[in-house]
Parts: sequence; C-alpha cells; structure tokens
Amino acid sequence: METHLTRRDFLRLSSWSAALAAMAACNPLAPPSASTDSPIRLAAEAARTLHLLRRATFGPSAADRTRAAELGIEDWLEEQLTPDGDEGPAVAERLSRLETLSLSPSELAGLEENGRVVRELVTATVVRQVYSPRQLYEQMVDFWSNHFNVHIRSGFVFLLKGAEDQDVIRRHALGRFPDLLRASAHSPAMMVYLDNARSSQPSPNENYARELLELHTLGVDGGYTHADVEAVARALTGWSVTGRRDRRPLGEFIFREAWHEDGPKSVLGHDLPGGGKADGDRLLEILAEHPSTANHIARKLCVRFVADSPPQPLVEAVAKAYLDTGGEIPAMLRTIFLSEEFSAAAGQKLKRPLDYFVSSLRVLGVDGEVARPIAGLLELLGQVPFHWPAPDGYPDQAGPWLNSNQMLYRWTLALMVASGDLRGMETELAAIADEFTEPEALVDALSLHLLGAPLPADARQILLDYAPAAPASVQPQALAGLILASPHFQIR
Amino acid sequence: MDPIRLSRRDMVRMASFSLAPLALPGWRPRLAFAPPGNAPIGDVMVCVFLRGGMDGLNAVIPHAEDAYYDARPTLAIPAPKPGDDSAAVELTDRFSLHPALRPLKDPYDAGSLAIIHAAGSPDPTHSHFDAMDYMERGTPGEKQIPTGWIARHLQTAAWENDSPFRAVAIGGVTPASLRGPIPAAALRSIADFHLPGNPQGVTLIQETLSSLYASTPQDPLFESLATQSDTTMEAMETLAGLDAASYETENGAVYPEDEFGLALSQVALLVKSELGLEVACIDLGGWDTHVAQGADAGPMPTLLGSLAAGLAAFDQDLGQRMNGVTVVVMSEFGRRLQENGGAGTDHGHGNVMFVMGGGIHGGKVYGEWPGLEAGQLYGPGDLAITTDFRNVLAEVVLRRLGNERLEEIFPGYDSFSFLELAEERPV
Repeated sequence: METHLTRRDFLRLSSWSAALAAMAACNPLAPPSASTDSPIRLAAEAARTLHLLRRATFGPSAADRTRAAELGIEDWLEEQLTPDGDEGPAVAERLSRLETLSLSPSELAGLEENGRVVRELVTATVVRQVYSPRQLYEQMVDFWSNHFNVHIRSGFVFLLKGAEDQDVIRRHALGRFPDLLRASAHSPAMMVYLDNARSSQPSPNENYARELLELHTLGVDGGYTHADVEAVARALTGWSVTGRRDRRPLGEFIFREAWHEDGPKSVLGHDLPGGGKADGDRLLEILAEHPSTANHIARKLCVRFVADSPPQPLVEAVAKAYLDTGGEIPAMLRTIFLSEEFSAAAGQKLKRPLDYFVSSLRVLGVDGEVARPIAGLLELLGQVPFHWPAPDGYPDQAGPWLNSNQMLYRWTLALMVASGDLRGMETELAAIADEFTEPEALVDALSLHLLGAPLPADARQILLDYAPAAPASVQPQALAGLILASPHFQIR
Repeated sequence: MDPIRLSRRDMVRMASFSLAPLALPGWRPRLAFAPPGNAPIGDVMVCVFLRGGMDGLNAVIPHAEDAYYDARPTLAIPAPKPGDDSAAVELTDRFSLHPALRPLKDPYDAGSLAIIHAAGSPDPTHSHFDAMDYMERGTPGEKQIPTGWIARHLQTAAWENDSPFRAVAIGGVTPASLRGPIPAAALRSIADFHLPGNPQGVTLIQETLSSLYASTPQDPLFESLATQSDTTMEAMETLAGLDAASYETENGAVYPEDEFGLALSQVALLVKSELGLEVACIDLGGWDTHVAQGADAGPMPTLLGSLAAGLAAFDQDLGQRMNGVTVVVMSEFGRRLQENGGAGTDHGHGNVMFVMGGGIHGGKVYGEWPGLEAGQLYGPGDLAITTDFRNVLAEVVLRRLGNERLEEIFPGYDSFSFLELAEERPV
C-alpha cells in the first residue's frame, strides 16, 4: 500500500523550516546579576519574578531574567507594556533576509514564486517570539492572532495575512480593543477568510456576522439571538475587498454601496442609522461598548495568562478595567499580572506546543542556523502560527494538547538537543559545560539556566543517576535534553 | 549515548506520515491487555467527525422535493437519471447520493451502510463550537459535565482493558468526546511513533523519563502529565512490535492519498493487529461552506469524494473483520436549505449521519422525513431534526459495543428510542 502525503505537502512543511533555518545572529550569554537584599525576600521576589516571566514571555531567557532582576516586577512589566519601536539587532538582522514581508498584497500577487510568502511570515513570527526583547508584546500578538484567527491556507488569504499582521494585530496589540476590533473588521484577510467579502443584499452571508458576535466580541453566551446575527450580517453587507475588476490595488478594503442593504436594522436593542457604511461603523461601537464583550475578552486573557479555569473575581476585575478605560489592553494586563490570583496560579498552565518550542530555543540561547529538522517539529507538534483552520484559534487550555502525540514530539525535540547533534546550531550549553564539569554542579547549573529554578531533589537525583551513562562528549547536552523533556519544562 | 542522526529522509518520513520501515527495539508488545474472562466484548467503533457543518442536503439529496430545487438554484444536484454521471445516485424513490459519494453505493447495496437523515443535536445553536461541544460531550445544551460521551462509555464499560490503544485519536489534538479519566492515545503516524536514536540509548532515556514523570509532586497537572507519559511509553513499546512497513491492504483496497485515507489505514492496521483497540476518532474538516461550495465540483464535492473513497477502502480492506467494526459519521449541524448570495450555505440544523459495519442493517435511509416546505423547516429555514443523534449512538453503544449504561453515557437524556439499525452483537 502506498499512503503518504504528497510531495507538495512536505515541501509546504519543510519550506518555512528552511527559512527559519536561515537565521543567524548573536545572542550572548548574559551573566546573572548580583543583588544585596535579604535572602528570604530575595527568594520570594525571585519566585514571583520567575512566575511572571514564564507567563508574560515565550520562556524566560537569561537576558530576560537579568533585566527583570534589575528593574523589579512593576518596572519590568511597565517596560513590557510600553515597548519602544526597537525589536533589537537579533530580530532585525534575521528579518532583513525575508524579502516578502514588506510587499503589499498586489505585489505579492505579482510574484512568480509565491510559495515563500507563508513561510516567511511564519518565520518572522517565530523569529520575533524567540529573539524579540518585547516579549509581552509578542505574546499579545499571538493572543490576538488567535482571537481574530485567520487561516492563512484559506484561498488567497495568504496574500493578505501579512498586511493584517502589520496593520491590525501588531498595530493594536497593546492598544485599545475597540480600535483593534475596528481594524479587524476592515481587514481584507478577515473579510475573505470569513466570507464577508462576498456578502451582499438580498441574501447576506452570515459567517463573519456570527463569529464577530460569538468569537470576537460578546461570546457565545453574551446575550444575542439569531435575529441579531441576521441584522449584523445585513449591516455588514458590502464590506468587501478589492478584486481584479476594481480600479484599485488588489486586496484592499472596499465598501460596495450597491451591495449594502439599507433597510432599518436593530441589533441588541439598538437601531442602526439605516444607511451605508455607517451601519457597520455604529455596530462595531455597540459591540465594543457591550459589557459582554468586556467579560469575554477578560475571561480569555485570564485563561491565557492565569489558569484554564480562571477565578471569577479576577475575570470581573479585568472586565471592569476594560469598561473603565474604554478597552485599554495594558490596563487589563496590569490588572491580571499584579493580582493575587495571578500570584497564586504559578505552575498551573501547560505550555502549548508553540510555547514549548519557542521556550526551548530561548532557554538554550540558540544561535546560528536553527536546524531544519528541529524547525520541522513545530508542524508535528501541531501549532504553526496562522495554520489553525477554524475561526476560534488554537486551543489555549490543556485538554486538547495533553496527549501522547504531544509527549512524543516534545521528547523528540528534547532528545535532538540531548544528542548534541544540532546541525551547526549553537547554544549556551557549551559555556555552561566549560564552567561546570562535576555532574552535581552541572545538573544544578543546567536546571537554573533552563528552568530558572533548581530541580526538586528526587528529579535531580534521577538525572545524577543517569549522568554516567551519557558519553562524556555530550553529557551536558544529554542532561539538558532530559531537563527539557521533563515534566518541569512542560508547564509555565 | 550516540548522537542522533536524523537524516533528511527521516524527516521526510516524519513529515509525510508515511508508513515506512522502523527499527525494532528489544521489547515485544504485550498482546494480552485484558484479564481473562473480562475482555472487551463489543465492536471496535470508529467515529468520524466532519468538522464545520456538513451540508447533508447536498450529500444525501432529497430529490423528490421541489423545495430543494427551488431553494438551491446553483447548488442543487440533478435528480437521478440513468446514464447521467453528474446526476444524483438513486438510493430510494426519495433520496439519492451526491455523485461524489458513489463509492458508498457498494456498502449501501451490500447492506452494511445505513443512512439516517434529519438527524442531529436538538439544541438550537448555530455556533460551530457549541454544537461540536454538545455533540462530543453527548449533552446538548449542557456544558457542566467535563467528560466526553466516548470517555464515559469507556469509563462505565463492564470490562477491563489496559491497552494503551483502548481509545485512539488520529491526529495531534484530543477530541472532546475522548476527554475523561481513561487516557486516550493521540498519534499521527504509527511508523513514526518512536523516539530518535539508537535502541540502547533510547531505552535508557525512556527509563529516565519514566522516573522523572513518576517523581513529580502531587498536583493535578503533573499527574495528568505522568498519565500521558505512561500512555506514550506503552504506546511506543506496543507499536514497536508492529511492522507498519510491510502492512498491505487486503481485498484490493486502495486508500485515497490524503490525510483521511492515511488515518483510516492506520486504524485498519490497529484493528488487524489486535492491540486492544476499542474506539478510534478521526476528524475530517473543511465543511464550513459559506461561499462557492460547489455543486458537482468544488470544495464540498472534493471533501465528499475523500470521505466516500476512504470509507469504501476501509470497508473493503477490513472485509470479514467489519463484522466486529462499526463506523459512525457525524457533523455538528447541517446547513440552511436556502443557498446564500455567494453560492454557499449558512449554518443549519438537521443533517445526515452514516453508520457502517457488518452488524448494521444497512441499505436503508432511516428516520422520519420532516419535509422542506415552509412550515416544515426549523428556525431560520433549516432542515428539522426528527432523530436525536443520541438515539443513533446509544443503539450502537448498547447493541454493538455491549455497554448498557446509557444513562451515564448520555446523562439527562430519557427519550431513548432506537431506529433498529444495529443487530444485537452475539456475546
């Protein structure tokens, strides 16, 4: 029997890996900083800081830990909530090789070979997650990319997603939710993905209308009816995207007056003006101001950053921050990260596959070329950015990911590290190995470096029992791989 | 430990999920999973979930209804006509198959494929995510029970089975129907379900990992991880004994070269290997056809072709073994009768279900037909539901899987009424 995916599928898989593999720059091993406070307070502060870093970053690198220790929790958080425009040389240098990133949809459509469009966007996304110092910003980019999920393999969405990433998600990731919502509703990628681009009177398409209410704003139990869905669909008729027949560049938002249904409409008890694009504009204001939207966004943020079943008082506090500030995203994040509920939730989240993948690269301080087989594991782990087909985005809770496929490929990634054969990729392990040669000291140094904390005593002993079996030449790598494969690195 | 040499060919294998050779390590699988006298007594159940809301009205066509043709000016499939391959394939004087489902005509005619029309979940939601959730939990309108209906079947079964392959999801994500206290394995590829490296090195690594996972502190998340670690280790051990490379289909079956075909072929291999498989779940997505879904060609006909070719190949491959296998095909809801302005269809309500197996009274379209005229439709213009999906599943669970505890599998449901589509499995 011959059963296999086609060569095209494999190329699709491996090609973005190749682009990721083409990265190279330096990421020096940052030394731990010294401090002079009392040991007990320092230990408690270190634990709080580590918990915050594990949630607010894609896995704390040595540099993150140093920076957070210098600034303290509150100042580090403020720095992350108000990042400057500089992504740093490690990102800039890598992105400079991705030529399609800066092209418009019509320019992308004109490319002879457009297979690299998706892989370069995915590569840029993972590069930023691994190397950007603006970690919380990248977390929010990922969060909103899933909240407003657009499947990049859906028709010609792949030509439009890059513009959306820049103009919608990245522009507003730490801004105001009403602005983000409005930008998303004007996003050609979203209009195409959820079919609103084809929605016209007299028989409008309900796809975007329904997900706008259910997923983007009110939430499924947010108090709307099927009549609301129909009215929203009618209000948004004509919100479309330029095509080849329009005398405008391809792939831009366009309001098609002739497709719009001008009759009276009532949504959630509000009458819409009943004319033209103002219907949809007013609709978006109504949705953004609705308490159900505040509650829905608050709950999802708490699931992302606190716990799979977050405490209700915290959800309410975050929703209040939304309503008090008109949807300021940093206000909600501040409420979350400085809450007692957050402090009490350490270690309760399973890393999603992407978290596991990126955090592995970050704690290893990977430099040079990311080996193609390692990059390909993100596909097998099942969370390549922009590749979740349904509009609800990748699952953010443990249930769907807690399975044998996940264990297998997490261990596979870890064991490739353990083998010491990383295909020319450099890590910070060599520097640790130079400094610590005795097994005890080596295990302790690796635990601190990779986990940010010592291993529990019994786990430490298991690694020490294993150590003599590892060939001396790759002993540090083998121990590091086991730490990455251990349960202690699966959580955040 | 030797360096792992993961060649490009290895990665092609991993990535393309092909059934390729694998090195056999030093263990043999444990083939006896159940204590003597208390082995599973029922069929293997294969659940295929069509995600996105399959348009049942264009899959099993109600060709006798003028309302169908009036409502679907561009999407309707012509009524059966001898010699016309683009017309629907006649099943009864009322129903016919979409031409892309023609491969299912054979099992239908052979009496092993039953079709249930106007079936589904009675909850009125038009949300994909709520509808899928309700169906997979087996509790329409109710989200408080955290486990899936299949998980509860396994939990309440009167037999024991400690196989790591008692329940399997083909793919990377565990479906909600399998979430519960009995760990289900998830795998993409049998051939690739092993760790890279030489056997001795890997064995030592596995022992070390097992110790690390067993040593974790008392904590729900760590305990779940430890359970998954055990399942994964056992699965690797068991699958290492399978020579997936030499697997050949029987009876001339040819699976389609797509993910669905590969998933079904892997289930077939698990069934034939007698590893204690009781339930397998496969997802087939892409059915949310709001725009340009295609009448005789296009996205939906392509999916129908994949579905039919896969199921027909599975049926053919398993041959006589289908007497101990039941396949159930369902989707979260059907689609609106009236096509929209984009030559697509919006979310609807009632839908078609398929049940296939040697113990199924096939060759028949089951269910009371509610009609498509104004006044007969449900909600905003959807096919009504006359068969609760739980009645179909419960009949399969009771008669083919041998589990009587239906009230626990479908809590809160008290209207069990069987269509008499399944034969009681001899004990």
